[in-house]
Amino acid sequence: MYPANKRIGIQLVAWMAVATVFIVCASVGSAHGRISDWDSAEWIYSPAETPPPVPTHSSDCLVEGGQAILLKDWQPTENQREILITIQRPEAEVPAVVEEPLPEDTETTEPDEGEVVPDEDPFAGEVTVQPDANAALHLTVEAQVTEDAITLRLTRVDPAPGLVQATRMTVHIQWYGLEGTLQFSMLPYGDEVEAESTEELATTEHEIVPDLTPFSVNDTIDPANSLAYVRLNPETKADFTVSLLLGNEALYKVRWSLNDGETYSLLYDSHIFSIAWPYPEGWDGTVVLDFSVALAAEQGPTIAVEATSYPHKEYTPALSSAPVLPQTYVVTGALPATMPMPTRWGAAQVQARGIQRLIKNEQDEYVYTDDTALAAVTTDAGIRLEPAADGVAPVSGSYRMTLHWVWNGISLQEHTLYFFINSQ
Amino acid sequence: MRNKKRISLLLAVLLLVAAGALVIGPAYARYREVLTGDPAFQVNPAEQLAIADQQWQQVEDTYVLTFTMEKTSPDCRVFLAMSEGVHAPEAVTVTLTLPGAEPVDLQATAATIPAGTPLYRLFGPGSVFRFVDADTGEEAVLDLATQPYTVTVHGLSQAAQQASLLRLFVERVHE
Repeated sequence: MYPANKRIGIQLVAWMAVATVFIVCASVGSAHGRISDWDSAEWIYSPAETPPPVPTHSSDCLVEGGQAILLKDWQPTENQREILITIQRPEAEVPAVVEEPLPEDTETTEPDEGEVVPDEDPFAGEVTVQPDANAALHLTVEAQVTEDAITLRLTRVDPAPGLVQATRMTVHIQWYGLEGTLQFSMLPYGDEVEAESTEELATTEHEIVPDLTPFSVNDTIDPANSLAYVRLNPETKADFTVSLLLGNEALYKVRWSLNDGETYSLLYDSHIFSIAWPYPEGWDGTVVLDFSVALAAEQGPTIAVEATSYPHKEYTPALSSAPVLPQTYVVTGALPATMPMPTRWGAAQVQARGIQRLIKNEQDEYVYTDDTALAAVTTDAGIRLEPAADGVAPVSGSYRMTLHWVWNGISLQEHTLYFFINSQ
Repeated sequence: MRNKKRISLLLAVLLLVAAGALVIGPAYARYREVLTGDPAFQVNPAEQLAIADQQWQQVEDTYVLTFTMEKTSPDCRVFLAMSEGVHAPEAVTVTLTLPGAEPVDLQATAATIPAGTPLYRLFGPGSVFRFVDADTGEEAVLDLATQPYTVTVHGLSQAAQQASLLRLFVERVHE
């Protein structure tokens, strides 16, 4: 046996050894659990998406939308029980027939008896219409498909000029390599229906400064909403023509309003619109232009205004921070994190729904499954991602969600947003 | 006599104590001064790897990343992680071109990112492309300079079914 002081010394040495081993394990273990001393460069590849069909129209009732078309205040009269919508075949979409030589070692195989060989007609198109139960009571949609165009004939079938419930008609189009969905929505109208408040838009109204020029373009820009305010103050009652250009290219899908954003008209297939001056002679008026769905980032449009007996005038507002639609995001670091994007389109507000994560199933197929670990909250700055429950960290990987632009409970437009979470 | 001895012993002890105080006192004061002042040495963070410049370009069906390192970085591994959604990673060819009088191409081999690894926890499921030294057949460990390096990705458009995240990692190898 050792003497007491020697025993104490041995114990002391043993404890020090244990402590040293513990410290080493702790430091090495934590370093081993993460990638240390690294940097990275990232990029996102997006498979080419089929462009959606772009409709032209022949009715003033088509006032909102994009792929979602709002048939606002369509009160059937004898003169307007039908609306014709035409989707022209883009020249670039003419399918080229390419005959590829078969590899030498490839044998041609005959189809089995009874097997259905799909028709490979490159000009084949398909239009399917899916009305909801209520829409069928009010509206029919007939599609006529030719080699050059699809014509959709919308007919009001309800005899009474009243609509008390919102309806929606969905039309799927597959044609000439185009694939897309158009949604026609009719809002209720009548004394009991009021449009959603536009107070938020009204608060961005610019201050009108007296101006002696025939008309002017106010430089009040609201980048968050991609709104420009064009102030017109003619000395005499005059009609104006406004044209919108992006460089030398026409600028489409711009919405314009003569009542401070209470109602909008959307330019589908034209970049020029005429304003019949609605105000008494000598009154100022403001045209609100909404570029939120028309502009790509870092681009600024040119607004040219002409009026009878007044000179041509051009103006380029400094709109540079308005993406068309949110792109793909990579979320790094800890949640919550905000994906910056415009979340309003006029009076419509973005709602994020259905977060899903990409996984590979047992058949080695990629499928999106509902993910409950993440929640998305709409803010003025964008979509904020946060853990659905405290202490539950989302796993890294590929995700997607659906963004809906909702106005009065009607989903005017949908967009699938892909995003990635990279966080330890 | 005995008292004299005791007194002289006491005086000697007192003298020693006084001498000790005189010697130790200033040293202790200096020690306290050092303690309350700035620390005598500092811990500097290790120099981190940093990609100084990066640019992705598309040239027809090929996607090219050009990058440079901020500083000369020895003993590094370079690998490309590709998120889930590339159904045939073996159909994707990834090449790292090392600059020089005669540029050298390193081909990458694809593998599934193993579940539970740090890369999996950071990046998620998918594939990792590691660049191989043709001579040794092992993953290349490179001394990266500040010249532009090029990573070329080909065959992605046929192999990727979903939007995919490509992330190039440069990692220092620690012995």
